[in-house]
Formats: sequence, structure tokens, C-alpha cells
Amino acid sequence: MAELSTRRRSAVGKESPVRRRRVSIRLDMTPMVDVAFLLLTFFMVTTAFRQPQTLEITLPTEAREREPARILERNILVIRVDEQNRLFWSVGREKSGALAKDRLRGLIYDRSRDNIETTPGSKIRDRYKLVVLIKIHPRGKYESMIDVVDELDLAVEDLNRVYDLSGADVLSPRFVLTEWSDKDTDEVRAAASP
Amino acid sequence: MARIKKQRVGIKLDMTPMVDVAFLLLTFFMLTTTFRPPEEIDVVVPDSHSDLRLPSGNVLTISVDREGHIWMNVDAQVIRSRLFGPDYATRAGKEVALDDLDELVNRAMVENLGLRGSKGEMQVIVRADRDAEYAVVSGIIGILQKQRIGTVRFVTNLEK
Repeated sequence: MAELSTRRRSAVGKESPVRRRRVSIRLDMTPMVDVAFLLLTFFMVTTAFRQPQTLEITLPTEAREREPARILERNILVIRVDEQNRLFWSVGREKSGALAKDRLRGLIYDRSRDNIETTPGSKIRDRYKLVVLIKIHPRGKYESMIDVVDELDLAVEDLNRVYDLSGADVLSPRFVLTEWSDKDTDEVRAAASP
Repeated sequence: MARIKKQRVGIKLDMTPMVDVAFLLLTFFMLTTTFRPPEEIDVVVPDSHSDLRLPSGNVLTISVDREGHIWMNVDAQVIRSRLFGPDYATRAGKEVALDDLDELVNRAMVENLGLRGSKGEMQVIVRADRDAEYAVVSGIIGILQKQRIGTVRFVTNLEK
């Protein structure tokens, strides 16, 4: 909607009639701005800047290619996830106990802390010997694995914060994904029944 | 008593700067937007607290949907068409069987090393559905271990 508005001349006849009148253009910008904002909103909403994140896992070489590692039983924390995605934990070959999902991080933290406090040595990094053995039932969900690894990462992060560690002293999570066996099924069944 | 009537004042606002900024933003978003290409399979990834970014290039992606079907993709078009045939040059991967994965991953790695201008070793990414059975993922991990692939990245959503 463009409209031409002419300025009224107050004194008629003062200027020469040959000269053209100066015309100022008034353009109504409202619809254009409306469309612009509409498009702006659309692109702002549909744009996805976020790239998916990833969880990195370092795999050990195959078991039969390397020397079996010797780990003290008390340094092993076993986390089992059964086919109903219930969590169980034990230290070494002790009896398993059921574990609520929201307690996982706290448990790993407590066990780690316990491990550090009871292991002799000067540097905390050398005293942290805990290895988490993760066993997931083949019919369990893949999500359970990510959950356990993630909670372990968070627990170790907590430890680093509490002990105020930085640089070369930083503790890193250690875990092994091992295969589920019939023994594990029995173990979990015993822990699940009261 | 005569009321004092206030003179009504018409406000004139100069909208030009606002419109300028709006157009600037509009142009920016229009140019930067890339619509996501349709995925071949539907995967809902699990959540984690890891904020590691997905590498943007030179990746081998193994996707698993909730039924346990496996799809393999390599982002380099040359390698992809050599692995799966020229038809797959423009497609986002191919469905493969777990038994064939071992050989395919090996071939992809070899092709990548032989490629001119290769940017080093390929990163292996596993994009599995949260509800997929662990057995499938476990099988994939086993294969990668056999191929001596040291680090695997699992695609996750950042959980706040």
C-alpha cells in the first residue's frame, strides 16, 4: 500500500507552474515486516545447532590375546543388569544385592571412596584400584549399559572434585564389559528372591 | 470548572532498526539451516552426561534399531560405494547382518588407509536404540575388539 502524499502549497501561484511538485512516498511496511518475522520465527524454531553427543569407551584387546590381569577380589565391583533391567551389585565374589537405579552413582562413589581409604599408599591415584565389572544380560536393554557407564563416569568425576585432583592426578574410570553366564543368572535370582 | 484536557500525543516510533535486525537474523537462519536428510532407520538414542561432540568426518557408523537390525555407513562416498556397490553412493548406509559386519568393518578400514588424502584412522560410532537388546551391541563390541579398534563412541543425548 503505497500512497503518494502531496504537500499542500500554502501559497498558490508563487512557484512556477512548470516545476514539478515534489512527491514524497510513504510505503506501508507492516505486511512485509510481518512476513519477515514469520519467516524468522520459523527458521529460529526449525534450526538445530545441536549435534548429538557421544560417550566414548575404550575397549581392551581381546581376552585371549593378553595376559590375564591379576586384580584383588576386594578391588572388583560387579554390577549386573538382568533381563528385566534390574541392577545388582557385589564386591568380588560376595553375595549380590539389589540396587535401585538412582543409587548407582552413590554406590560407585561410596565403594570407590572406601577403596581409596583402605588402600595404603601416598598418592590417591595409586590408591584407587577399583575396577567395575559390568555384566549385562543379553536380553537386557542397551540403555542399561550406557546408564552404568555414565553413572560410573559421574561418580569418578565426583571423586576428582572431592579430593580436589587435577592434571596427572585425575582419577579415570576403569571398567570391563564382560559376558553374562549362567552363573550370573543364578546369582541374580538368589539376590532377587528375599 | 473547566477541565484541562490533556493533549493527546501521537507516538511515532522508528521501526527501521528493528526491521533491519529482523532481516539480518532472518538471512542468517535461512543460510545456516540445513534440513536433516531423512534417516534410513529410526533410532532413539539413550541419554548420558557426556558432552563429547560427534566427530564431523571420517567416521564409520553402525546403527542398531530397536528390533536389532544393523545398518552400517561410512561417511566417505568413495568407500561406501566400494563396500556396498555404486547404488549406495548417495544412500545413508546399508542393512547388514552381524555375521558380515566383521569383514565389512575390516574392508572399510583397509579402504580408508588406501584412500588418497586419508585423514588417519576412521572413528567408529555406534548409534543404537535405547531399547535395543544388549546382545546385538555386545556382538558389535566383540567384532570391533577383534578388529583392534581401541575406542568406540556411542551416540547419546546430552542429559541435563
